[in-house]
Amino acid sequence: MTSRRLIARSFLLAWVGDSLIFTLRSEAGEPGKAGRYPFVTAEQLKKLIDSSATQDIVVVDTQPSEYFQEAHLPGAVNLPYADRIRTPMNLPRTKTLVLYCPCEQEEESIAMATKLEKLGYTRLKILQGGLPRWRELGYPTVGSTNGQAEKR
Amino acid sequence: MQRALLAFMVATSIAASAPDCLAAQPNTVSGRAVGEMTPSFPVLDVTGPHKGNSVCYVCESKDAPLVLAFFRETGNETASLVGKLNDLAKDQNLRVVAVMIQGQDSQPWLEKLAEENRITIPLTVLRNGKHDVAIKLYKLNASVSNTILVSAKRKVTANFVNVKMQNFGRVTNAVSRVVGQK
Repeated sequence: MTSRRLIARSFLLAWVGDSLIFTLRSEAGEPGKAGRYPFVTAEQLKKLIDSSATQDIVVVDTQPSEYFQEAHLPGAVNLPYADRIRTPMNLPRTKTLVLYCPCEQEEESIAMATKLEKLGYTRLKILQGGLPRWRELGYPTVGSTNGQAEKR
Repeated sequence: MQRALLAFMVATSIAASAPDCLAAQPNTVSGRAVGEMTPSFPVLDVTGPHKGNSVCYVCESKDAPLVLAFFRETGNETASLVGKLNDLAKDQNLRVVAVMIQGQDSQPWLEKLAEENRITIPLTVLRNGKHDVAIKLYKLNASVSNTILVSAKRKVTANFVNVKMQNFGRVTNAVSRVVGQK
């Protein structure tokens, strides 16, 4: 009986501890998750792009191709949102795919991540706040708008 | 020589009557067809909580029913239709977005319209006006006064062109069908 109580208390303590750590992490500004996909903040991605440390990631833009041509993140590849993803694709399975959409709440990038996961992609992350957040921070985009690069 | 003259006369008479033929064309096409996907596109919000922000309402609505109403220009007819769309959104509890193709020039008119008529649906403009990518993407015909698309599950379920107050009922019916299927 005593050992049962002890086990129950240990579980309770562990749960409280986990919750506390999670809360502290959230308050410290660490990116959370979009559904079951981890977030990458715009600031983190910008650092990676600036330091040319993007050899292990592929930035995937889910905008329609017309909008992608107009403006996209430097180095991004275009995989427009669709009901069904046409295979085969040129996206590597060995790298982390960082998906973004033109939506603040990441609806399309999460939906596309789910579709990619069904195709066997396991290393998937979501750009927090999508393209609007990137633009809000004044980070540069590449495309036909304003010549080669657009900075808003 | 006579043949050449005859051909010239036929050609000129066809050219002269062409605009009338086009004007009388009953089925003017504009907007994505029924069954086609609704691609994401950002609009600049002029009124409401997202005022001044770029918002993708198509993305936000996910699979939920959505009405996208594209208007060529401002005016009384547009104002009346926006009012009707506003009522429709309230009655059916669905997302309706009015998009002015004219672009940012129509911003003051939209602000006034929302204020004076208590319009709560998002009144928006295309960021690049008539040159916006959305025009091509949504296959909008620049010569029509409006194009209203009803969609659900990211697919167009009804397409209406040059809607007037007198025939707005067909939009209501299309919305009812979609909402009923939720």
